[in-house]
Amino acid sequence: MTTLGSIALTVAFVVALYAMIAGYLGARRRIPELADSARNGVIVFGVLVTVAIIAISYALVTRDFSLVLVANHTSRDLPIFPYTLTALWGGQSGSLLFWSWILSLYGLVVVLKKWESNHDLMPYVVSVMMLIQTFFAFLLAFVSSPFERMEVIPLDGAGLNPLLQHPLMSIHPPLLYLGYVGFAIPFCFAMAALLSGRLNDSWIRATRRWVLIPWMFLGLGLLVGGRWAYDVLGWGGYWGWDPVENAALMPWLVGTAFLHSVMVQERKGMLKVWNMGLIIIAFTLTLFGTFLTRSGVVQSVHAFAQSEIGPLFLGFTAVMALASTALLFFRLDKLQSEAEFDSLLSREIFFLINNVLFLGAAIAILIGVVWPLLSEVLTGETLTVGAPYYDLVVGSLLGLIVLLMGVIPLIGWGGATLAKLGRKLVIPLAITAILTAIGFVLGARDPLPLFAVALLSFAFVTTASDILLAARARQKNTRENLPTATIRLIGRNHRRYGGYLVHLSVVILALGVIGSRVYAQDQVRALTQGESWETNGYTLVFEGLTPGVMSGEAVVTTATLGVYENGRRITTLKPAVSFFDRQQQQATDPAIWHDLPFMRRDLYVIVQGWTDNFQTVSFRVFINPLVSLVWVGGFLFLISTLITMLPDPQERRARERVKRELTAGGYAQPSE
Amino acid sequence: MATSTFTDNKPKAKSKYQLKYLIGAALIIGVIGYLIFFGLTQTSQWSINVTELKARGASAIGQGMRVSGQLEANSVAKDVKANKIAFVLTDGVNRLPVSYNGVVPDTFDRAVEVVAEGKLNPDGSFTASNLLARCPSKYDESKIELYDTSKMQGNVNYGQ
Repeated sequence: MTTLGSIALTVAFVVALYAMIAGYLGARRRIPELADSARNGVIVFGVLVTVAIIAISYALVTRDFSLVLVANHTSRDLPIFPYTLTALWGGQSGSLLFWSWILSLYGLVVVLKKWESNHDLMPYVVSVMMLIQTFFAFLLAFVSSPFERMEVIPLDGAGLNPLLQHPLMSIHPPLLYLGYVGFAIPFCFAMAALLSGRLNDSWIRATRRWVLIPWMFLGLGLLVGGRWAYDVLGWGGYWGWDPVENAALMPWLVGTAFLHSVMVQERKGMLKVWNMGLIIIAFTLTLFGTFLTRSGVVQSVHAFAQSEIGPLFLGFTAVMALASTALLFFRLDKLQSEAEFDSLLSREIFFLINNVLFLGAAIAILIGVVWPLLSEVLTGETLTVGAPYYDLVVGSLLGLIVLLMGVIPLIGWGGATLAKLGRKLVIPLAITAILTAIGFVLGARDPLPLFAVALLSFAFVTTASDILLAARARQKNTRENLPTATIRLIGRNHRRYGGYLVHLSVVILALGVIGSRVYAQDQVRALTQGESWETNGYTLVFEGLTPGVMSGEAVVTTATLGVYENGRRITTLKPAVSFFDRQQQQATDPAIWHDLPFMRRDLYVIVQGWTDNFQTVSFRVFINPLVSLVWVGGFLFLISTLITMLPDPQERRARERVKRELTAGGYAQPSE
Repeated sequence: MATSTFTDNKPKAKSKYQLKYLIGAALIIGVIGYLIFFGLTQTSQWSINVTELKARGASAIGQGMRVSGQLEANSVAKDVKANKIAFVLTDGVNRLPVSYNGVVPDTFDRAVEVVAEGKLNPDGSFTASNLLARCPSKYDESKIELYDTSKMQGNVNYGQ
């Protein structure tokens, strides 16, 4: 199996190289047979990489410790499902293979769905996609093979990092990869449009959904990663502006910008260069992010080894960025705007401002991540920035974005007048004032969080009222009740109202972020058995410590705490410390109580240590207000995004029109 | 790239149109640029090692910084009841005593290199607010795993 997998990867490299060249020549010279052979190349490549994936999975499941990947990331004690299989992406070569495999699966879907309907673009799409795959297959076949053998075969493996032995860790990396890798597809379409010179909006229509899919996965991946950190790492938080988190957030922000500006292009034929630029930036950021996290140039929480592929990745990133930008400039004349902005107070302008802010946030993060390198060049000293920088800069920009989110529903396409806008503002501002006052009463007493609550309330009110007013208007004609009218309204226009639901989800999530980051508290205390501790309105009673119980790979020491509120026992918390002998590492297992009503706050307890022969135990207690709203908002974000992806009646008609145009046109005429 | 969307075929007739939007664009980009500049100048910290810290002498007192160094053997003293940990960072010659009372990273005990974020006191000791431990991978000494605890200050109280 190992040899088979190894051979499959070498052949895959040759196939990718062939399909890249055949796709380009087939399209350029208009040789359909050559283009079709490139399409077949995509299918063969997909099969070959799948063979390699099966081979490595087989090696993992059969615990073939002669392979470096298996020996370094698994052990005999590790459960086969899911953790031995998740070791696939635990190491560098495995994660490269996983990346290439996901791209090949995306590629298969795209080729099977779009080959007929986008006959002029697809050979170029295939060519660009296989260029990326050639790079990955080269790395896999010749530089960092997942089938590399151990010099000496060990009796047992090193085991998986204990922190990664968690159910969420078996879905977090695949979600992130689905997001990261998925941004390659719109990039391929954009490059295909530039190469073919067919720069009408067909590439935009073909790819909007292909931005939405990776955007959703990346967002989910970030959320699941945050939840994992919260449940496992024991520092009471879920987001730490770590370089690896930032690397995933940057393309997500740029993707968000694109999802908004693409509407301007579809409606008005404007921002064409800008949209093309955003796709290039988003894709480049996914490559650059991989470089950052794999090269060891920045310090990160994620245990990636420094590696030899760093320079290769940087080189590839630079080549792709330069080549795509050059291509964009070469085609500037074909990307003329079809319209001009009518008014400063128009939805188009506000979308553009929103775009600049999203891009600005991504740039601010990028500068923060590379600041240690940049500052050395600029000042001769190595400087770093951390959470305070990101909270200040990115937090401010996101605040401005929320403000726009509140204003935009009040402004139509084409333009509005100030007087009109002023009249529309009165009621939302009044409701915002009431909601902010409620926030004040509930505990947001400081200026900054109060301001944030006001911004979020405003966005919530204008968005929700836009939906409700449209539903009321519908009611007049249909005589449905309000819930039915609302649901049918959303069903009529998934994109618009699904998008609004995403906004409402983001408001809920943001409220959770504000509450849990601004008003979180933590306290420490050492307790002897039977001793009680009054903290934040709770009484914690330390009822005992159970030391040294074997559980899987670990020896677990568990403390028992009775939690009382107003003299009534509300729960029992069992925070623990696990010691993993094989890895010589301990892991803190927090115990979390989501306090009702409305999960208003979490009581989060960890064991910090013990002394006096287990008689005295030191606990740290975190109070995290509103943190559950982060997960609730995240879940609603998923549902809302899925709603936006449902096909609309209008959209289907538009797509059929495009299809007719394309089948009439056949292959693209080269532009020169 | 932004400006190209504003270009049109009759620049003379539309120069007023362009000016209005250029000012708007400059304003927004200016705000973003200033925010980044302000954030960098206000929150940047030195990232240095024990040797470099020594070389800076008294000028380093009170500055926010990240200091990296090796964990001196047998220098770790934990006081569970008082929730304190003390240890010494070294480059082989210079020694920096560090005290800390936050969450200790799970990988601290087997760390080869520690990064402490905090401030240098006038008496030459260092008070850390974050710890970051780098550990040798068990099977391959050349591979370095990182474990960052800078997140452990996630509970920043902005309002107060």
